[in-house]
Amino acid sequence: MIFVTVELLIEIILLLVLVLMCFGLYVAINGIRENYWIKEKKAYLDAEEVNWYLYFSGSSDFSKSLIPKTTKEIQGVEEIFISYLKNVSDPGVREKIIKFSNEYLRDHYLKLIHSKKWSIRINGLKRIVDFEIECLSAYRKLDRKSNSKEENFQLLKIIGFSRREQFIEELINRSTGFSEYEYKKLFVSIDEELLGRIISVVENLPSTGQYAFIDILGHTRDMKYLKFLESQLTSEYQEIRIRSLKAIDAIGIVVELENYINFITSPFWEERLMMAKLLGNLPLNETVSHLGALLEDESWWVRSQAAKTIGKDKDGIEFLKEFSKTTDDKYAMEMANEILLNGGN
Amino acid sequence: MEYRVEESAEPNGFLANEHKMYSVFQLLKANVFRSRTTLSIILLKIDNQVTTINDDVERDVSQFLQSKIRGSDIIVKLSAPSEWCIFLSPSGEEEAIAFIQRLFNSAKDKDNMLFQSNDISLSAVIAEIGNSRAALDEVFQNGRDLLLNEQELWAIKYVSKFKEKDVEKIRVSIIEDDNIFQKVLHLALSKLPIKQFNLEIKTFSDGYEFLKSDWYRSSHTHLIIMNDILPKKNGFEVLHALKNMPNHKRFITFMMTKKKVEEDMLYAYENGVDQYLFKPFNLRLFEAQIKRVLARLWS
Repeated sequence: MIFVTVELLIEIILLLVLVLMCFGLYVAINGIRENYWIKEKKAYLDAEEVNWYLYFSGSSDFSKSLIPKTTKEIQGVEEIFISYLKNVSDPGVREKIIKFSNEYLRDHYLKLIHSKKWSIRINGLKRIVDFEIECLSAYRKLDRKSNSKEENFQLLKIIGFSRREQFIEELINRSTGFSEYEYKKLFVSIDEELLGRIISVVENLPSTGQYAFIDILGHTRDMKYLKFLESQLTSEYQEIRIRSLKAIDAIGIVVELENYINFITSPFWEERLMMAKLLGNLPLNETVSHLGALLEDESWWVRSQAAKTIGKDKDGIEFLKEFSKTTDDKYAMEMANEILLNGGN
Repeated sequence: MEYRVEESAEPNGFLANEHKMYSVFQLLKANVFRSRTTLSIILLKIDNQVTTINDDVERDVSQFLQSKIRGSDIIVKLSAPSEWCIFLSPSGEEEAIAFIQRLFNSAKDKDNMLFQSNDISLSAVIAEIGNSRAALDEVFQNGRDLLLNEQELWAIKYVSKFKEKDVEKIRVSIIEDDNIFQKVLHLALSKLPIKQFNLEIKTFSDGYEFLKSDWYRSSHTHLIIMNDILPKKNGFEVLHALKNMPNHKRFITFMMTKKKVEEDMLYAYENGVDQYLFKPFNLRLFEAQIKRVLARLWS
């Protein structure tokens, strides 16, 4: 049994009370400081929001009162800029934000990206990307290999607008370990010209990068990428071929059907499925024999897609009616009837 | 209300009783504001007062004028000699000019025996009515003053005193959770140069806050600019609630979105969205769209 004297107990309690009071005081001081900062930022926002609007809309000239004097005021400016960049597309607004940031906020963000704390560095890099601040000449960590994946991701975005000639080389070196999603985010953030330059080095990227690149080309719906995408159809990798077919379908143009004909009899159902979709970009009278074959495919997905593609054509319903009468394939007949029941959809 | 006009009007828009003309005018004037369409009053007078115009000629002129008006127009033979009044509703000054020119051309036609054999010509005064302050006697007085010293035959004169439209109050709701952008939209709308409308703007951070307020329960035309995605009740829920309201056609809805999801857009258009704004959007373009929508309220 442990015996504790009353005096010792009182001393322990007093000590705990003291620790608690110190902790309470710390929390209170932090709270007051936080409130003060919030008030300072709010005071800047209240005072300058309208002036920023007038400056951005060209109704008034630049006023020195807009220049933030404290870190909290800088955070106020940040909030305003981010809101405008997210919601407003007027080109003049973006130009003004970039000019102002490079002139008045650059030193602040340079300080942030040299911080020992990773989170502060990342926040700084993100804002540099948002406001297109030229910082690479002064960024000491640029050549360090110790950068985290997230830092390299932000740095590539920065290189994309400030050192364009180095972008391709940096992309190969810095994108190690990027996920497909990160590659996509990166490719979406760069302009058309840089995106086009990646074509020549795409094979040096890891598979995640290649997949993302092909998907993004499909999203652009620009037929200038058609030649590159068609060249990918001979890739030894199935996923590259499937994604290229999908991207070509997204672009919606099939120039030479002969280039795709092998996929109709591909041993992989995913490729046949993509073909069933892709054939919808041509008139039914040119594709009817291929779609008829795909309608009798062993895979339900391929049959279903072929029937949907036929159903969407203006003569599709008639074809499906005729097909369901003449085919011996009961699965194909069922699929044709299902689409007919849904009115071609 | 419409029934009373029909009752007072004889077939083909001829109103025989001049006293009833005042009630008809009150009715049409009230409709100007309600339907946001202007009314034009034409005072027609035979020029050649030196020759005495007998009742038969006046009756023939009445019939001629009656044959030229549209089904929605009303003609009255005034008690003042050789004067007629035509109400063109709904029509603005330009339509009235076109009507008068057609009428004069037909009257001047050499085959038109009524005007040729009696050697008479007409002059007209057009008054476009855009507000509820206009009084019929004042319109006539202004018109007669203009024609009093007119030497030219087949003259067309204008009374523009009553053209100015009444300022209409329009409610505007901005439902946007980004406080800074909310203020940007507020500023953009409050600085819009529109004389005809008085915009009463209110901002909300969420659809729930908007629907809990009584703000949208009024008979005013209501312009709503809202995000599709909002914290508690999103834009589609607001749209649904508004659609179930009586007189929901007074809402003009702009939906702001960051994503082009065609299914969402289809749903929104089918449920009453008038325009989509894809973020980020050009503020000047937005202002132009709002101005166009408001301008189209008056036809």
